[in-house]
Amino acid sequence: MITKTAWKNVWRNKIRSLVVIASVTVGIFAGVFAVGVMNGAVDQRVDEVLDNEVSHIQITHPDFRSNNDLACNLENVSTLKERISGLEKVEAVCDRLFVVGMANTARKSVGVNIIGINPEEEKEIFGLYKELEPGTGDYFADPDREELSYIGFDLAKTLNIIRYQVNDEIIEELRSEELPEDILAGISEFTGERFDNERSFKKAMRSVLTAKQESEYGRLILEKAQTFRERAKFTLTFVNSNNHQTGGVFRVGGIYNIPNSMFESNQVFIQDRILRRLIEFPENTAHQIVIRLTDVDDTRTMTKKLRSDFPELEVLNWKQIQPDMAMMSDFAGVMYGFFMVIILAALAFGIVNTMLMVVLERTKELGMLTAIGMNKKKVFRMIMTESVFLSLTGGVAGMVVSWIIIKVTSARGINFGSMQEGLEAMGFSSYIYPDIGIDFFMIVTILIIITGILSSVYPALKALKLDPAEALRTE
Amino acid sequence: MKKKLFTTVLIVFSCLFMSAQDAREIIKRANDKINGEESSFSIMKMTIIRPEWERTLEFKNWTKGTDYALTLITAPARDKGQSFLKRGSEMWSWNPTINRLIKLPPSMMSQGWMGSDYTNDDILKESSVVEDYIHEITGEDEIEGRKCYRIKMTAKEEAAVIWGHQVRWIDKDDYLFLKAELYDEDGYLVRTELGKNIKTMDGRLIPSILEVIPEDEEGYKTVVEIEEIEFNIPVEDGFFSQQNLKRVR
Repeated sequence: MITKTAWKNVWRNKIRSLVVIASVTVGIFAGVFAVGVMNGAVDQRVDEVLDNEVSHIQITHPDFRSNNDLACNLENVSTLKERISGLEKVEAVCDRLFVVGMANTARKSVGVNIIGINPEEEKEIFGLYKELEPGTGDYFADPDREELSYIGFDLAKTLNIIRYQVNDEIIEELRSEELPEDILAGISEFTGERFDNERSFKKAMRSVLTAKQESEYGRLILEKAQTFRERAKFTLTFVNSNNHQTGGVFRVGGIYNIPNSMFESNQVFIQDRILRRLIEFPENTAHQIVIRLTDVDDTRTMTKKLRSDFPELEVLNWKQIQPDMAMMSDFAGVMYGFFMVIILAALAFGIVNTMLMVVLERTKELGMLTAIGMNKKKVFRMIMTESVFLSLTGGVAGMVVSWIIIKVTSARGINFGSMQEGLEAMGFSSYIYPDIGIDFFMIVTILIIITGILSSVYPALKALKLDPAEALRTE
Repeated sequence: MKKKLFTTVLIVFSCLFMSAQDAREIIKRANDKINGEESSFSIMKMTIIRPEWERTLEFKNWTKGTDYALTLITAPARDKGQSFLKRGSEMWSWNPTINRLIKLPPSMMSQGWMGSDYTNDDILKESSVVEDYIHEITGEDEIEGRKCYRIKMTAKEEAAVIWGHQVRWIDKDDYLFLKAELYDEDGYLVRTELGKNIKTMDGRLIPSILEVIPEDEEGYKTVVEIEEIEFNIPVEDGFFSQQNLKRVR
């Protein structure tokens, strides 16, 4: 009875109610969608860490992480690996060698982490081999080609292995992308020239394009103009286990492109047996054992178990290795909640205002109701229900809209191309696939109801204070 | 007819072969001329030229064979007393102001030595011009008024060389490196080195000024001037020690 009256009351002043509902809809949509985007980005980043960078659990010599010393290595690695892979819940195990060194080309030299891997074993654990940039190599397809390496896109850029050139073919390709002719003419001036880095190419572009043209087509031109020298040569120099300077010539056998530019710019992969030989390590040694579990949710229990099984080694899981990621994925829910609470708090003021108007407008009516015997509790409940209806209608509409839009955008991804550099510096992809769990919608629904209740308190109290006799007499 | 063709081919090939041999021989002789001395002591001045500034370092330099070298900076006052030791493929640096002996890590090897365009790597890996390249005489030019061989040196596939190829000009009479152009793998010029002001010093004819000009940085240049040099001075291996690095004056 009360509920029905409240629902009817909502629609007595259609325009006013619709305005409030619309504002709630927009507010909730904005909030939920923004959370969806953030959550999508965080999820992608966590997947990226698990699949390409860290995996689930790593075992090292207790001093390796703090000293980064070659001598802090693991011995009897194959026995260790056998023992671990025999455990329940372990999907795959692999071992890696780590050396810090320098990569040099004729123009640049840069500090890198050289990682010795067994490509076949790696594939079981890391998905990095899938991130191979097409046409740059084949990820250690031929293990006899000892000089091949797998390097990141950003490193290839810094080492000038990727550089920028314009030729007729590229102009043709750009033409098919429907670039205006005057831009094409401008760029074709650079035919035959070679630009070593992004900066110099951009500078050249700026000399022929207007700022507007650049912001519109600059990225596309830049991408097309990237060329790559196949099997490009570079040297790696580092110190071996006897503290002697050593190194070798390597060629690019593949370039990986992942969203994390930090990782890309300093991780060089080569075959472990070659690195082992260069640093003069005996067989059966490694710096790190990487473990992938069948289910990531078992990480905590497995870390504990491995710790008690190998007390003399350091066992760390991905949350301990990348605490920023752990924080992000653990506190994300709380942050999203706060975000929604702030939005709802702002909306609440709108609802309070409307409800206040409702109460003042119906002074006579409310007086009548009390006069004919409706008790205060019921009046209070009626006003509260009306307010909850207002907010919930808007909220549900907002959630439906945002759910649809999240579904649509998550299929295609949202391109934040203009912020690519910044995002990738933090390890986030510029393509974000928004995603949010159903439990979030439930929390939001509860929050909306609470908002409706809270924002009705003041107007309802105001209604209760009315003296029926007094109220009846108002016009 | 067939025989004639065969002979021609043979002659052509042997010529090619000989020129290759010759080119290698020339480079080797020129290289021996720099590195072949038993030992040396020199006083040098290095000027680092940048678009905005310029500074001059003076230093003393002892060498023995290609393996040992010790360098002591004598000016300016700020860097005075800093010394460097090279033994084989390793390098140490002594800095008296912080009282520290540092073994140069790989990361410092490829940075410019004392802010110049010379990299520590250049200093450590000089001997590879003979072994790591395939040499070929491509012509003759006149540089500084002297007739020179122009020799193209293509880096061997497996050699630990970052250059794609080099072109070096070597004096025909005295086997001096007068000019070198260093190219990257794409064949773009990266660095030019010039030997100038050929003088007789301690009985040997040598270019007394060396210039290094990086190609992609405009207005950058490093000039090394040999002020004084003595060859085959008596010096013990023990002179090139970490202890002496701190003591040497």
